Amino acid sequence: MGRKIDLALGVLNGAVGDYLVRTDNGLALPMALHLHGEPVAPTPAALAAAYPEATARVVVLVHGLMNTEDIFAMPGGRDYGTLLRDDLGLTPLYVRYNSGLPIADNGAALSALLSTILGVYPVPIGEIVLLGYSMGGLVLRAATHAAALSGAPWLPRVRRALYVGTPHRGAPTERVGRVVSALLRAIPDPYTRLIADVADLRSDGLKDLGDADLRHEDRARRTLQVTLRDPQHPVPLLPSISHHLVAGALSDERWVRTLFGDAVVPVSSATGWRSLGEGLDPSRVKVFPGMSHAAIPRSLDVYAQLRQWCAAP
Amino acid sequence: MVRRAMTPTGKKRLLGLRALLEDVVEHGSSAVERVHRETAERTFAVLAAIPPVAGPARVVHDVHDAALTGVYGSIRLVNRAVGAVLTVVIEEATKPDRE
Repeated sequence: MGRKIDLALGVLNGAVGDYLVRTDNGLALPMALHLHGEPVAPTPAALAAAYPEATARVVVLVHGLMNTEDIFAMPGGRDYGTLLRDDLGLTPLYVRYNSGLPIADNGAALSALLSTILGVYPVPIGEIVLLGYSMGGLVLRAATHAAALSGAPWLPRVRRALYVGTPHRGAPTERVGRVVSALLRAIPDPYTRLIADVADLRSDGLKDLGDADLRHEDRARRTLQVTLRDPQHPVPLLPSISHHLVAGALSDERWVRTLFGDAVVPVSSATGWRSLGEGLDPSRVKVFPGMSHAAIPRSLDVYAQLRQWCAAP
Repeated sequence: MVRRAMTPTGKKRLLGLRALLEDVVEHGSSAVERVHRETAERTFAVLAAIPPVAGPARVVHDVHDAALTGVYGSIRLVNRAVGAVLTVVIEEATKPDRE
């Protein structure tokens, strides 16, 4: 029952989470670490109790839009976090957050949370691995951006970041939705305007996905044109971190990869750095044919690749 | 017998659900009222352009608008009243009681 409520709240927050916060509604999810579905307070006592075998290497897992950390769960109670713990000794820290808030806000909140955890974690943290699924990868990038600007103490401990099905260059479905909404609003008919009003109720977080807006200034520049971003966007990848990208594709056919990607995120968006002049080492980009957006956060094939990247010196 | 009290988070969520449902009815009824009013305006605008029926149409228009305001306003009033009652019920129901 509790798990179902958590999943429902994850969906609700992704859809209208910004409204819930604006109206001080108790259904809004605060950002917090979670373990076995329960929140873990960022205090020495709570962290020591939750992680009695805490290790100096941690992996921070961040879910996507309308999800909770449950999105990573595989049959048998395993997930990327527990597998990395068993295989490489990383302690998994699962972050749950309100995915309807602007990505910039969630990034800043995550940076603050990690700064707090760094000071109260049971053992000194030597390395932080970042692992984000879908929107979670954008939240991680926004967090590193906020941390770089504020000089957050956790950032120097991040050596690698793993992005799984993350729309680095935006999600076309949201951009199409934006255009359809604008068209409906332009029609001088009260019924079409009503539909547009309902469509525009979608959250700030969801709207941010359209062009992968990581900063408030990016959101302010948003236009109706379905074009790629200007050269200043996206926020550059921090050179101090080793970045690794995983993309899914419904099939190996070139046209399917181009048009549909993993059914939500095109391959070009999940791996799109080269076209933006940010060339990544090809060994750090992996495309999995036959992998949908729903399957990519809990696949043993994907895990094998993540493990390899995490095991590298 | 001591009944287990609802956790503060559970109570907060219950009150949040009540508030969200109230918001949906409040904003939903306002949106439907706007569509209803704008749709009716079109019809009354046509009638107002026909001299023999323009006078009576204006009267019907005024009555229609008054009824519209009354009906949708009463929906929102009842909605707020139900919301207030539910808040009290939730507050009472989530108190630990003893028998």
